[in-house]
Amino acid sequence: MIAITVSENIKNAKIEDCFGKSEYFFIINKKTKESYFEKNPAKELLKNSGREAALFLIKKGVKTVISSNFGVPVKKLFDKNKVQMVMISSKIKYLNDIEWVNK
Amino acid sequence: MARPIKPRKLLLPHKAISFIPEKKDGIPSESITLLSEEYEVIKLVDYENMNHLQAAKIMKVSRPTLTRIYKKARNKIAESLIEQKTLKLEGGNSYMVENWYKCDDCEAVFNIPESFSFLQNCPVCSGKSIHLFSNNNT
Repeated sequence: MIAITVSENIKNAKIEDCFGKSEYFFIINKKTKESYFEKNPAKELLKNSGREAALFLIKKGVKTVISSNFGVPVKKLFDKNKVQMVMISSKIKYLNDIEWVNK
Repeated sequence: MARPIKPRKLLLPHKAISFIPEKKDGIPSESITLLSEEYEVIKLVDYENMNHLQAAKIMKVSRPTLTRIYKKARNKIAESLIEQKTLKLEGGNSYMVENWYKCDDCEAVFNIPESFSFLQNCPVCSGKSIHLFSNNNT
């Protein structure tokens, strides 16, 4: 399962820069092609939003997370749970810039 | 002879970026180089709100050394703002705790956890042209 941080629950949503403050996660299983949006339950938290968002995705069984930036507490959690972190470049701005999202 | 400087530990890679002041006359400004360890200190202390001791432990340096790097970084950023100089993020004396890889096609940067197959394609564009990423030589 792969999670991508996005600003809206639509296919041409902007990819969010900050992992913990992301509005939604686009979650996709590349094998079954099943995909859906999940609201980030930690977005409104004043503290530890990255950590709580990471725990939420780990519980969902996500193995790869695509975002622009990750913080230190998030990295520690993902390392411990063997979750891959992917930092996209500014070349990719929208969810549908990623080819396999639309297949 | 002065003791050689120990490389500073970085947890995450950063993107090589330049911040260029917008000038009406369009004349290219002078530049200042912000080193990778200086960028990391600003990120840990000012962006992630860690205290100097916490940040020093992460970067495997003493607290006074971290404070020195932080002061230097702040001075450079201030100089860039006040004197409208370009701020370039490059160089430094640092190392990353694990290997990160960069895709030549989409420029995504990613790690490969133990449980993953090493010879995987880029997780974003499925490109096969991947090389080891380093903050000093992107």
